[in-house]
Parts: sequence; structure tokens; C-alpha cells
Amino acid sequence: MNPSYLVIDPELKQLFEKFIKHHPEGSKPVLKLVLKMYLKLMDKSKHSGTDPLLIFQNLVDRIVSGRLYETTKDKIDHLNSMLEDRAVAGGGSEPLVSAETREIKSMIRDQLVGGVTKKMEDFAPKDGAKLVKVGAVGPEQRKNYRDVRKEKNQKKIDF
Amino acid sequence: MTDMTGCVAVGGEMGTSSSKFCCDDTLVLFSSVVGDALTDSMEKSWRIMNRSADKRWVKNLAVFDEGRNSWRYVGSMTRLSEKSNWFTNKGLIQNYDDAFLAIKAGLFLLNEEMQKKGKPLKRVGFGFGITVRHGENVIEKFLAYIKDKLTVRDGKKFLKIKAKNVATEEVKEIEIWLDFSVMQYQAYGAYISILFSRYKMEVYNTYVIDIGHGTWIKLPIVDNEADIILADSMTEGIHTITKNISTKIFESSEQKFKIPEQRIMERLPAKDYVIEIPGVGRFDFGAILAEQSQYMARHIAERVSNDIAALSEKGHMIEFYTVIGGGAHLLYDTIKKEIANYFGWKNQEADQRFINPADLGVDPRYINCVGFMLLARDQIALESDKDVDPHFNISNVIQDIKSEEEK
Repeated sequence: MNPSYLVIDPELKQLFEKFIKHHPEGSKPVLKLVLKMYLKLMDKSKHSGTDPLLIFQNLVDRIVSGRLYETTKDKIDHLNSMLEDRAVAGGGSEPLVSAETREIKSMIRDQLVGGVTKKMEDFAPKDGAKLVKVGAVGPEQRKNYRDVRKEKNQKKIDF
Repeated sequence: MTDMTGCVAVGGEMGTSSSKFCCDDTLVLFSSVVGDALTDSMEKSWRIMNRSADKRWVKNLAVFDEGRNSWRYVGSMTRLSEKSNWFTNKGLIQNYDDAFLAIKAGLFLLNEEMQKKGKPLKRVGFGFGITVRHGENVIEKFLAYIKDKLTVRDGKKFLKIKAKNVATEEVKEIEIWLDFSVMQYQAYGAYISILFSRYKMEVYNTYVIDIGHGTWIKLPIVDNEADIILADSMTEGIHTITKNISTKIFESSEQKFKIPEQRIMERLPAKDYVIEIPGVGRFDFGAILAEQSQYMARHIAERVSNDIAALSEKGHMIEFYTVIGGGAHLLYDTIKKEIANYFGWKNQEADQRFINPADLGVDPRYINCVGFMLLARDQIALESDKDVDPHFNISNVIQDIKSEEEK
């Protein structure tokens, strides 16, 4: 088997060392997860222009301080990553992970009933008949710019 | 009723990449950059050596800066400047002096063109696009700064402009009576253009996505007013895409080939995605471009859908969407598809919901500028107690860097 190398910068190395020092028990699988997240962050940061190291540092700080999941989404991402890993390895999902996923999914469902998603479902037009067509609303009902501009002037500055 | 005799409407906008000014059927467009001039002797040497046949004002413009008591190059002429500044950065005006110089340059070049038609700019009502991030206060300060620089005569405020064609050494001085300025957020110009043409003056809630070189702007307009809570300017644009393509080529070629972003940018309008790499062959970046465009379009659609959710909570609905700016050619179809997917629209519904500026006979790069001209025209009509003429037809476009067709 050919040897492979991972090149990391000194700051990142320091962060890894800090992490291993605080979490020696689960360093390998969690480190793998953290590295995966870091690579995802790198990719995202390329587009958003943010500093991946800074975001990564926050992530590691969260792990070190024991606050791995700040939001439900963090937890879902983590669980999904674990499931993906297991699927790749050919094993089935661990009962504990499946139970946690089910629990979170049901929590989200409960939260969203009557919440934003419900409103979005009501709002999103499902067919053409619900869409407003140009000219479909009679001119008497639709506001005319000529009237609107008289009621409310544009911001004007006299030189 | 005010006497507005002889007052003409001019629209203006300072973009991250290019500044546009228009009047009637004429539009001038030049790079949003200003730079220090060469010394007199250096300039003379350059003139002797200059073999370019392009001696147009727009290509060789210097404007006299009273504050510095020196000439400064504008737009394409800054190719000779040792130090140059962009008028805006991340959607914000960098420096009032430079921005003022941009306005002088724009009005001067526009006057040159209008003079050829026998209609020089004498009295102007100025429609001006302000950046979403600045807010009204900063722009009011900027306009107050301009006010201070004007010459007052008989109660009228005149803007004096002294300009030089560096290639021919011709110097001209003109004076324009600046009457008023109306301001609106940059992307609002596009809405006004659509309102005056497609909407036939009827008010429809519209969502404008303006994709520029260095930034993209989102501006929902509800009941004829910009929703400034949701309006925002993001520091991503076409530059982000071309930069990523350049980096990908560099990385995938084992760091052998660095293709300048400008070379990639130049090929986009013609949809020519093949680049010649000397000594190696031809590289087709079409697939990378599609991937990067898709990524950015998805990101934009995500932001737009969040706004739609926020608007729906307030009981508002967006009736039409439009994508404008230099990036519209590249991203219009992808953004349309992403938003259509979000709503579950079929093609026909998406076609009905999306307004393509090209269908209105105006280039998406300068639809905003045209809108600001219409805004000023509307103000003149309002003060004269007349009905505004909603028609526009930009047929004369003058650019400092000629397009492929012009070449």
C-alpha cells in the first residue's frame, strides 16, 4: 500500500493537538468527522469568502467545551455524517443513531406544524390557477403608478 | 407647477465594475476607476508613442480635479496610472472626491454625445442609483458635498467640468445647470423600467436580483416601495465565478497554468468557453463554469426563497421576478429554474413570472440606469403638471472598452 500524507498548516495542527489532548477517547472517529466538516467548510468558504480556519476554530472550541450541537441542524448534520460513514462501510445503521434521528425528526415535525413550513405550504402556489396573471386583476383594482407617485413622492434633493 | 423649461432627465449609476450615464437614447459606460495622471513630460512621450487609432474621449479621458489641482484619469485611461482607485468597493462608495469625479466624467461624456445630436446638456434633473448598503443619509451627505462644489449664479447651481482628451491633448470646459436629483436604491431602476414598459404603469410586486461584477443585490419591491429590511448587497458576483474557475484551472493543471480572470470574463458574453493555453493546447472551461454558475444560482435562490417566506409572513406576495446586471446573461436561466423548482412551477408558469430585460429591448447591464433616467423624467413631468412619457429606446451606447461586436 502506498503511503499518503496530509499537509496541514501549523495553526490547524495546533488545533488538532488541542482536540486530541481534551478528547483522547474518541479521537479517531471524531477527528475523521471534524476533518470531513473542515473540508466541507473549505469548499463553502471558497464561495462565501469567509475564513475556513476561523469557522473551524469555532467548531473545535465547541467540541472542546462539550457544546458540539448549537442547533438542531448541527446535530442532524453530525448524525447524517455518521450514517453516511456506516453506509459506506457496508454496515447497517446503529439502533441508537436511528433512534436519535427519529427523535429529532419528530421534534422538527412537531415544531413545524403551524409554523413557517405550514405557512410556506399555504403560500406556495401549486397550480397555475392560483397565480396572478398580468392583466387578470382589473385596472380598477390595481394601483396605478401615476396615482401612487402623487400620494408619495420620490426622494428629491434640490441642488 | 414649476417652470422646468429645457430641463432634461439624466440617469446615473456607479457599479462595482462600470459606471453608466444615460439621456434620451444615448448611454455612456466606462470602467468605475479613477487614477493619477502621468507627469506632463511622460504624457507627452506616451502621446508620441501611442499608435492606437482609438482617439475617442471615452477611451482617453482625464478630468481636472479642483480639490487636488491636478488631472486625473478616468475609466480605460487609468491603464497608464501608477495608482488607481475603484469608485466603489463591496457596494460602497470609497471616496467622495473620486465619486464626484465619476459624475463629472459621466456628464461630460454624455454631453459630448448629446452635442453631436444638437442637444447639449444645459439643465439637468439627475436620477441617481444609491447603493443598498449606504442608506439615504450617506448619499444625502454625498449630494451635499456635490452641492458645495457647484457655482451659484442667479440662484442656479452650475457644475463646471474641465476635461482633457489625453490622446489628442484637446481640453474642453463645460458648465451644466444641475437642477435636482432623485434617488432610489440601485436595483429600483430596473423596476421603474419594467413599470413604464411591461407593467404599463400598473403596480406589481417585483423582486429584482441584480448580479454585478463584484456584488449581487436583492431588492423586493412591494406596493411600489423597496423593502429595505430585506434588501441587501452581497460581495459575490461574476468575479467570484471567474476567480473560482481560474483557481480550478490552476489546481487541476498541477499549478502550471494561471489564467487571468479577465481572459475568462471576456469569453462569457460570446459563450466561448475555450481558452488557448500556449504550448499546451485548448482548455474548455464550460463544465467548470456550469458547475460554478449552478452553485451561485442555488445560493441566490436560497436567499430569495428565505425572503419570500419572510414576505409571506407579512401577507405580501411577489408577482414578478427579474434578473439584471452583467451576470444576468450567465445566471438568468439557472436562477429562474431554481426559483421555479422552489415554487413547483412548470415552465409556462416560470416564463410568466420571470421578466427578461432583453425582452424589453434593453441590456440587463444598464436597465437600472435607464430606470433612473425615467425616474428623473417622471419628476420633471410631475413638477410641470404633465403626463410622463414612458417610452425609452437606448440605441446609442458608447463604451470605453469596445465590445466584441464593435471591434
